[in-house]
Amino acid sequence: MRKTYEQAIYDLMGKNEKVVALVADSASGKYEDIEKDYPDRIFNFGIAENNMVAAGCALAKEGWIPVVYALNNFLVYRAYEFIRNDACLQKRNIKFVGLGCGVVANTLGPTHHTTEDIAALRVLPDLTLLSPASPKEVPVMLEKAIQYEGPVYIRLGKAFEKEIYEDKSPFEIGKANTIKTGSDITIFSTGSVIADVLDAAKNAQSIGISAEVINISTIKPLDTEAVLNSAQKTKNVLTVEEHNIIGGLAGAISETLLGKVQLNSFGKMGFNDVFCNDYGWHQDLKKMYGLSSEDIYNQIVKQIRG
Amino acid sequence: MIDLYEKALDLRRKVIKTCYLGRGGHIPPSLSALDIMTALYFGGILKYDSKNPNWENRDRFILSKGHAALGIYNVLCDAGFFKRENLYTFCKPGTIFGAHPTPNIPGIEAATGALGHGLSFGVGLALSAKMKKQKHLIYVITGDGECQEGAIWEAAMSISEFKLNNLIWIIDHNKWQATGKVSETMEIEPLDEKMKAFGLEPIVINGHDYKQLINALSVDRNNLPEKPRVIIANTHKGKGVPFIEDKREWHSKIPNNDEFKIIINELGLTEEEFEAL
Repeated sequence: MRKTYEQAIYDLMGKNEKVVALVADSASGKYEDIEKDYPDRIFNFGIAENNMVAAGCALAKEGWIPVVYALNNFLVYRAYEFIRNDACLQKRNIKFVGLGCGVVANTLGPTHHTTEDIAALRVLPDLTLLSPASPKEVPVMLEKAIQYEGPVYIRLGKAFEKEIYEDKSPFEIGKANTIKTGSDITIFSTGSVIADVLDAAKNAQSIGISAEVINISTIKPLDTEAVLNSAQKTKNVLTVEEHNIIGGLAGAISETLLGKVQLNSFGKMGFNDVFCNDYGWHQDLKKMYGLSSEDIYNQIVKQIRG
Repeated sequence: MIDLYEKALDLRRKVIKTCYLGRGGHIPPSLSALDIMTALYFGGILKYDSKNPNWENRDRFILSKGHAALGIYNVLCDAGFFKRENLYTFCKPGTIFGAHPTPNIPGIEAATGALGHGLSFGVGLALSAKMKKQKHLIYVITGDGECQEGAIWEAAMSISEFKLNNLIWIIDHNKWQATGKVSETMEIEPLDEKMKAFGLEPIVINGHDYKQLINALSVDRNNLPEKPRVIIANTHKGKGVPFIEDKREWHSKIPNNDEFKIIINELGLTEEEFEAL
């Protein structure tokens, strides 16, 4: 996703002269071309996320469209009060792109993981929270985020994500996207773990379980209509996220369904209120913490067959 | 030009009246910064149009130490940004005037109160002016205790790195913070040496002396200073009201009725005159 994002922001800066790139020692890859081709519209704040966010909000006030790009962990956790007060409270037209959500930072370890960011950001009024599932979703998402007036946060993956869309992603802010239709269980998921969900759903299909897979690429505002309709149809719900099971997607979905739909089962998969304290590649970590496609398959079978 | 000392005395009285009506806000940190703001708005420093608060060519003023809201509200009110009857809804249900300012108020550019945000916001405003080749200036007042926030020094580094000589940073150096003396809480001195080390040009003044204030705050827009300017304004918390001046317990204390009487008297008003403000 990183490469796709960087190409997308480079292209957008060529199309829209209001777009300004802000980085915190995070300008590598295609950003080097931005520095070369649009030197007046890129600012490197050094390792100082707080200053970058507040300054970005001032640029937004003056009519620019600042796109802040930093490692997700430093941006959301370090600069949280700045995102809250300077961006959300004052509805500034600023875009945040956090690189490396979940545990995609793999061997960099727990200080570089973000398995609580959805919970932290979702509670901020007026913030639009987006989460791309695969590389092809990124440029569409960025373009829509820039067209949208107001603060937007994109929790980006990093590398080696499986592509789930054949052509262009149908992404629209506020719309969930049904990737696979089914009738026995609805799996709501977000981010690149959705590829594992799809594998699990296909395997479940081979033993006669029909799973619906819905990509929640807009975590906020949540497409409550799509969530309610699908849950009403299947009566079995599973949420899968590379995030703490507290406060994130599971929280958002259960808040929506509570008191509205009578379910037969509700499962939630994610980090079980723990930090990821292990090392390995992305897929290794997901396996260690019960988020592999096999784990998801087993959970589907457990919920439907008991 | 109007007598700025007279103007400031009038504003001090109105600060007390506003607090009296709303029973909120912070009197002493508002009074320490009041002469700086009076010089900016009534001393011919800031360009503004109170009937068109978002006038593109206005100078931008950020009160980073948002707890001096009582001060800026009264300054903006007398400058014509809103009516006094509106300001006198201060801290009451339905008002837009709370103990810390937000942009819902005409003339306020940014919500402040959480310390360490406003200088960085000023950095963004100054960058924008440079990008658009605009001549307006950006003035930011921070507190001195506020300089304990790490973000202040992130901002200071970037003012220098980005050569933002269109930004004038003023430190209201009243030597106190919420619960005690700055020097006894977390020392920030030597401020002027720190500023020099950060690549800024410090000017140390008496922040209650209008000659010094006007001189330090004046910037030639067509010939900006080479190094970004930071004005270290030595002030007194609660300036003008000896009863509360430089007293630890008064940071956010609301006077009781007897204490209000003492303060009103010290500001040279009878109770009837105070009522009529």
